[in-house]
Parts: sequence; C-alpha cells; structure tokens
Amino acid sequence: MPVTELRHDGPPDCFRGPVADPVNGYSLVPGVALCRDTMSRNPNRNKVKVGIWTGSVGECRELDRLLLISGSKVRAPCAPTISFRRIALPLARLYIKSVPNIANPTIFLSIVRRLLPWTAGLSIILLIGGLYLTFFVAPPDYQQGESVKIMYLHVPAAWLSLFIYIVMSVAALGTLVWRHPLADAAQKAAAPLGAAFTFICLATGSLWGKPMWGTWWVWDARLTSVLVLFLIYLALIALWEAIEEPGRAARAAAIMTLVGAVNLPIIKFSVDWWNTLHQPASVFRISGPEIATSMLMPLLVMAFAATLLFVTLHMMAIRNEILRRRLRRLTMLAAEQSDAPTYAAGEAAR
Amino acid sequence: MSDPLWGFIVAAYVIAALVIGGMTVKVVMDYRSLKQALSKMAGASPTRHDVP
Repeated sequence: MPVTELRHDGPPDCFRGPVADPVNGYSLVPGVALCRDTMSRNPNRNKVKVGIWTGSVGECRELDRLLLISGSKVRAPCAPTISFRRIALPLARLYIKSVPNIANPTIFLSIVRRLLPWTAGLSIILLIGGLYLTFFVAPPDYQQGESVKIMYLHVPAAWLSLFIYIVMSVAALGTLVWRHPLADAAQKAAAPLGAAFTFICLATGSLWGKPMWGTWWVWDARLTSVLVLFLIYLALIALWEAIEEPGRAARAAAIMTLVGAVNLPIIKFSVDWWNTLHQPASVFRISGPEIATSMLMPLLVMAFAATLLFVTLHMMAIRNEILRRRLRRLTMLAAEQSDAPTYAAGEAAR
Repeated sequence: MSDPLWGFIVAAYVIAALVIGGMTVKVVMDYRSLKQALSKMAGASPTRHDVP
C-alpha cells in the first residue's frame, strides 16, 4: 500500500504535502483517514490508526504528523497563524498523552526510578542547608530566644500536614470521579506520611509551648483542630486496614477523606475566627511576611526540603503499593491454579 | 548550649529525626520485602497462560 508522508509545517492542525490521490493537490472531502502516528518515540505505538477527519481544521484527533495511506483524504493546508490554539492544543495533547501514561503503573514505576535519586538527593542537600542556616545563621528571637529554632521544624511540618491532606483530597476525587488507577494508591500511601508530619507538628509545638506558654497543651482552637486532623489520618489508615477488598476500601477512604477536608479551612482560619493562644499567620499574609529575612530564609529552605522529602517518600510508598497489588494478584493467580485441579476433580466426581 | 531551652530544641529535632528516619526505613524495608516476595513468586507462580 503506497504511503505518503505529510509534513507538518503550519499550526498543529495544518498539514502539507503530496497526497496519494490528489484532487487539485488536496482533497477537501471529510471522512475517515488511515493514519500512522509518527510522533511517538515508542515504536510499539507507531501503528496505523484511524483518524477521524471532520473536514474542519483542528478537528482530526490523533493527527499530528502523519503518514497518509493511499486513498485517504486530507483537508487543504491552512496558512500558519499565531493563535491561542497553537499553544493550547500542544499542551492539551501533551496532557492527554502523558496523563494516561502516568496512570499506567509500569510507566509510573519507570518515572519513579528516574526521579527518585534526584528528589532524594535534592531533599538531603536542602535539609543539610536548612539545618546549617537554622543552627549557624538564623539569629535568636528577641522574645523567644533560641527556642525559635523549633519553629523551623514546626512550621514546615504544619504546612505539610495540610498540604498532604490536600493531596489526599485530590486523590480522593481522582478515585471517585475520574477512576484514576493510581489515585487510591496515592491516597493510601500519603496517609501515614500525613500522620507522621502532623505528629511532628504537634510534638514540636508542645515542646515549644512548654517554655513559651508554660504548658505542654491547651485546648486552643488551632491545636485542637490539628489534633482532629491527626485523628482523621489515623482513622483513614485504620479504614484501609479494616476493609480487605482494595476497591471498596478506596471508595470508603475517599469519601471519608472528602468529608474530613472540611477541617482544613477550620485549621487555617481558626486563629482568625476564635480568640486563640496560638499566634495568627505570620508568613502567608496579604501584606507580606512579618518575620525578618534572616529567619524567613531558613524557614523557607526547611519547608522546601520537607516538601521534597514528602514527594520522595510518597513516590516510594506509591511504588510499594503498586508492587503490593502485583504480589496480591500473583498470589491469587497461584491460589486459583492450585485450587483448579481440586475443583476439576470435584466436578468430575459429580 | 547552656541555655535551658536547648533541651527542648534538641528533643524537638530528635523526635523529628526519629519519625522521619523511621518512616524512611519502613518504606525502604517494605520495598525490599515486596521485591523479594515478588521475585520468589515470579520464580514459583504460573504465568497467565498456564491458568486453565
């Protein structure tokens, strides 16, 4: 079958080149075209596809750079123009191509294998840098003295405890709405990490509170709402462990996560809504941070290091979850096969 | 370091290090045990085509 290559030299939705069966150079007849996607670097994906050509520019899916197979029809090329579509379409294509790929566990594992050394290395470097700035550069506070050094640990842990819950809420939506195959794994993997960072936040806050407030704990709105967050994390971990069937556990955990998300604005605005002992926000403010640059820098470096550490541990935990599911499938397969002769013998005995 | 506050500071950093270290060790050990179990299963278990 003769194959003609069409060059893509206009906007992403325009194609030029000789066609096998030209009518005045190009056919204007809409229809179904047999196309070969040559843009993919994966040779397995370089297969003949059926592209639906509606006759209007930009409405032929899967067409980017094509090999037109004899008999196919193509619209006349259009003049190159700079438009929103020229930027938006490649981005949309990239999203459409990459998201299902990331959703593929095997592809996700290969991405994790490549990314992990970088995120782990960078988080260690940032952590060392942050600790250096904390202990050797940042000055003591005029009121808190050296105990301000606990803040460089407490505040990033508090931010992360909220951030991880947001990640879990998005994953919960992914499970319930988009049925993303990795969403429940991401959610399950994030819960223990969220609990750990929330525990660090509570413990370091308590260790800061004793010398500064004179007490380890008060039933303050901010402290109590963060404690509730910690309990929600523990409840989610327990829920995952309690339900054996992963699909049901994922849906139950997703619903509980979304219900628990109501606690996030309560935590954030508790210091504004109620008269609390805990201080109000001093970094993320509309009027800008209230703390000095010499203290802000170590705080931001530590926060970035903690976030990267979470990303690293989260990727590792998702990888573990994928492997656990593979192991489960293989175990069930082996059990099915070992049961098969018994079943066959039972059927034969009847 | 003679400041009495240092006890609280050190305690906070030690707790954080223990929690983060424990979390990291758990994830790494989990990965190793899963890989080991999978390689055992791959050696012993039937393939998809073997299933009747």
